Amino acid sequence: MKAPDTRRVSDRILSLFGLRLVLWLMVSSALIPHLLTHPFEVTDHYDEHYFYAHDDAARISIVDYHQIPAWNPYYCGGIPLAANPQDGSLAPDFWLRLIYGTGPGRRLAVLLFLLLGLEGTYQLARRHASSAPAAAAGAVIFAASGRFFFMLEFGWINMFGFQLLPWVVLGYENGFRSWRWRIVGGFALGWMLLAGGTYSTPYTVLVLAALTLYDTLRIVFRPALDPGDGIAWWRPIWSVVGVGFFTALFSAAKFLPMLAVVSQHPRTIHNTYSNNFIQLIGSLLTSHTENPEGIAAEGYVGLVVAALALLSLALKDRGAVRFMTMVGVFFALGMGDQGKTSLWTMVRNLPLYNQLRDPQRFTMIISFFLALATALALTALEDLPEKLAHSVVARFQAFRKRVVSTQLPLYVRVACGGVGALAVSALGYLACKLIVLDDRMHQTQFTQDAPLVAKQDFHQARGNRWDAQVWAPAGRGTLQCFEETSFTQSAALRGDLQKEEFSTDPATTVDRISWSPNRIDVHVHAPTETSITVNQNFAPGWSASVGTVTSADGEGELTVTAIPAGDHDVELRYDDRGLDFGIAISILTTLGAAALLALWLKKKIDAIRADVANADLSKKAQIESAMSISSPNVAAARGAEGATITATPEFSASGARTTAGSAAESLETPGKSASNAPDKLDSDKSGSAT
Amino acid sequence: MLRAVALLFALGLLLHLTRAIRTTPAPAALSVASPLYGISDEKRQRIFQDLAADEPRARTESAKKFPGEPWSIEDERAAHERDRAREIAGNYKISVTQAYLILDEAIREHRLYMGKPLEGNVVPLKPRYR
Repeated sequence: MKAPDTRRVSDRILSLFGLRLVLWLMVSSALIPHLLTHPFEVTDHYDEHYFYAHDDAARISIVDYHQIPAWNPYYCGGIPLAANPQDGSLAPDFWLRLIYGTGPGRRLAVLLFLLLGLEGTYQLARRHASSAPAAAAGAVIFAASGRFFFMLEFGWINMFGFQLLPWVVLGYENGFRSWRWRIVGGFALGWMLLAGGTYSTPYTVLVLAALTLYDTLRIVFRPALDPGDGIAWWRPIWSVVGVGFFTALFSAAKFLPMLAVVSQHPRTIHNTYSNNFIQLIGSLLTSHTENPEGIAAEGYVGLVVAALALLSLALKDRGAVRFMTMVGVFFALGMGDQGKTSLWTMVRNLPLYNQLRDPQRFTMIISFFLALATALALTALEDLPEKLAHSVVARFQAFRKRVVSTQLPLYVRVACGGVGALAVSALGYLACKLIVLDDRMHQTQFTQDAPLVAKQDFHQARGNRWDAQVWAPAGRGTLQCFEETSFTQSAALRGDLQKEEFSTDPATTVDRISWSPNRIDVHVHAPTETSITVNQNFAPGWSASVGTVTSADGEGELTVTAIPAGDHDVELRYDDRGLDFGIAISILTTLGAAALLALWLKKKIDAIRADVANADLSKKAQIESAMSISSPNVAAARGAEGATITATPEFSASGARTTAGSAAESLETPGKSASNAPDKLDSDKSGSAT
Repeated sequence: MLRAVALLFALGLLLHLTRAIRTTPAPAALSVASPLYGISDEKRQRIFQDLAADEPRARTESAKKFPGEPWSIEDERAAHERDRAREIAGNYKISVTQAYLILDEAIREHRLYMGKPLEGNVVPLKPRYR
């Protein structure tokens, strides 16, 4: 892994995080102009309605009832909420829904993921020695690739976790030597899982597995090219284990309860999925504008990007070969089931991976590595003018039998750099423009009116899953539903009851005292031992303060039996111990990681302060020393005017040279300030790279 | 200094771009007092009749489309209902939420359409995997 080269002026400009953020914001608002207006409207697609409904159920649990989003009574007659694999209510981005409301929060979450994806891809490309404009182009190519906008239309905010992929890879690569980066990688992958990343998480695990295998083999079978690159063969494995460990800790809140759900209610995929070569290439190269049907445009990056990525192979750059190898691996996976020996078939034999479908979603990973390879190709193009100029000058100097200079004059280099930066910007712009102009992004997607709040007592309704977003805010649950996970729904549930809690014994009366998603309090008056029924599904997490919670064959309604005769206040509670335990682990891990990072930051700041103080002292000593030297000169010069003239400028010129030299060094010398310049987190990398 | 200025500018731009998202007030809540959902009893009854009118046809067509698959038939009927609810919401200039809540109210009260109440329960979740 090379340190990024920061000798280019363009690199220095984009090393300002604030400036990059401005660029990312402009790109984001250009990509999806309608995202940031009319925040309460929803798209027309039922998947958006499904995810909106689940988000809203979780928000209502937290904000209105101050409860952990453990149980969702608003869907299917009651199903687990946070433990549902597709739920994202425990993810960091869910705070935006809690603060601004479900609709605005979902839009802001998309913006947040886009910004993270742009910055992460930029950082990763810079880490692999891409120039700043090339890295920026690579970032836009990945963050804007077709599938993300396909996802936006479908409301798959959980899939936007893919934008964290570069951070996971950064965590893994920098984690060869830095535990802090392993934490970053674990946090990013954990976030994906917490966000309901049913595809982003397992796909990213595959990316890490493929990179680990590649890097380990490369270290074992290829000697290191430079001392900084000579790492032990086990480092990639150590790093990926570290990232995995921190992922498990960060995402325990999701991981533990979800494991119980997917083992009890596995998703069954009956079909095999395959795509032929042409279909998959088509989905990468054909825009939605050109072909709005089928899988075309789902992973659209365009022809220019593909051509540039292929060009990167001609660079004989190890990074480019690595990226394009990954493109090949994930292309093979994307082709799906091609027989028993195909990669996809083998992967589907792994636990949990047999619950995945639609292998064309691997185009997301393909786009990611194509974007990184494209950034390398663009970098080579940017540097070409200077290399050519240097070659010409060197040949001329050799012909004139002069010493061949190692560097061109500054003005020539600035001119060449300018030409290169302009060329790469134009080409990068062309590559991005083709993606950005894809009409899918510019269609007004949020066309359906906002779901409205109606503060009324909770009832199950017959409902309608195609417009699932309308029920929860109106105090209704929709019995008609669809779930990818095979949750059990009782056939006895009804959407036309006057009372949701009742007894089949006519002599027993049941009155609701209070209702909330995880807790229902009722008053029961019974002349004899009795049972009561709640118009919701049974689940093992339910318990009652009086009587025994049960269900007919485990598939009936939620029933409390053996309630003794008399008057009782019965409290029914839903608790998910795996969720509670997982939340505790996640919170402790987050606090621990934050404390460690704060300590590390404090150390860094102290070190910088000490350096600054030392530098001041050193400068002061230098000035004093210079003064003590120059004084005799000055005294001596009183007799000889010319000496005075020589002595004083000697000090000035020396000082000026020093300053100019260091400035020029940091600006022009490749690699010297490289590790610190591109990003603030790279200060860790510079330490690890030595 | 330059870093701080660039960062401040970026934060300003972020606040500017997200202003509409952050400051647009949420739509007003529906009234649950009389008239329920802000719509008169008569109008709600008319809307229910219009919604219910589509149900027999929706059930027949859905059964033809997914023979022998009860959940899929139910799901297809619901898809018909969605189309009808949106159409009626447009016709009566009400929101889609109001249209569904009017249907829910009528089902809960067992209001009759062509002499029979609409079905109040659904086929349990058992999706087709194809």
